Amino acid sequence: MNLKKINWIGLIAGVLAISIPFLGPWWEFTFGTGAVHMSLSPFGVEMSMMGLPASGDALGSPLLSWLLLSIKLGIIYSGSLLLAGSILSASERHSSLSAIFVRFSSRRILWLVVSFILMILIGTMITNLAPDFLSPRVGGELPIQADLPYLVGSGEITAEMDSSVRFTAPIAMGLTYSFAVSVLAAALGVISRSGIKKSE
Amino acid sequence: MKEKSVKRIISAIQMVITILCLLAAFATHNWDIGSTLRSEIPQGMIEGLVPMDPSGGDEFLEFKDFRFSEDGSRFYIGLIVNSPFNVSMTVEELSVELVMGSEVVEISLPSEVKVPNGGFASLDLEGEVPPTIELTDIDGASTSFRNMKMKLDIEGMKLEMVM
Repeated sequence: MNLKKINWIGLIAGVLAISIPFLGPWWEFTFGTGAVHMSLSPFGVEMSMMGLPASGDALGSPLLSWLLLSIKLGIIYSGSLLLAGSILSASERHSSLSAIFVRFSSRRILWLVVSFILMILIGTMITNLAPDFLSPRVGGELPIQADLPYLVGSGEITAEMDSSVRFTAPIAMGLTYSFAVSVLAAALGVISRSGIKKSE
Repeated sequence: MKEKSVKRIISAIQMVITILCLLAAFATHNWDIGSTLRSEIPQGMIEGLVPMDPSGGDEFLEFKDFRFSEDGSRFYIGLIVNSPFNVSMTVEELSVELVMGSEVVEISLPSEVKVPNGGFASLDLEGEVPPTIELTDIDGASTSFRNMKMKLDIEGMKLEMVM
């Protein structure tokens, strides 16, 4: 076993991939100054309303909770394969197995990061466009207007009824350091793949 | 051949993880599709936000008293605000037009008032007595309120009402 042949980039990406499900939320959303706070990652959703925590099945369906668990286990599995593949690349005997492991797992984190960003962008876009899209269909202007930022920033949601009641709430959202670690893991995963190709 | 088998096995393990999680979701809910797909918001959480006691139906705003300053130049209207929420809120603005005979006077809250979680707070609105009005002229029958404007802050959410 030649230590110099270890795919170090893949090894780091593998360790990061195994750790990211435990690093916490990737994205945070606040409605008001703390009326509603939501923390989101591909592995779980945490929410509190008026300071009261809501978690587990209360946020979505039990099926969703189990699906999120399957994503968590899937990423740990991929990270383990990437780690094993990167270490096995030091062995001449197992180099083909190493290539299979790294090829299978190296892009998983990237797809996860891309899917997560797309999901939030699409959700925000739907929320922002819904009032304009629905207004002509309901035969008048909808009483709710949303001005949400995309991924990071602050905005406002306004609702007005009969010009006698007006509701305004500031919105703030931002990405966390866990997301940055995930992006790093995704980038290293992709780079580790090209390393395998060159060594073959 | 061996490589193909390894690829199949590692792909199959990933699939098995997903399938097992899906099966576990249904198995832990007695294979009932409805309860597996649907979420239940805990009653405690709803009660935590809004008190659910139907008998405890205090009015949001209650009249307390009506009084004049010693020199008779200003008057004060005392109100009680009962918070329907189990979070603190702030009454940022409150003003109302008081109609006294032919005179209309605006009275307002001099400074914002914080209302504790599910509790109450006193609001003292004040206004100037118009010089054309004699204190003896003011009675309940000839006095009425209109155009009440209120601005609340509930954990950063602003609610403005005109009544």
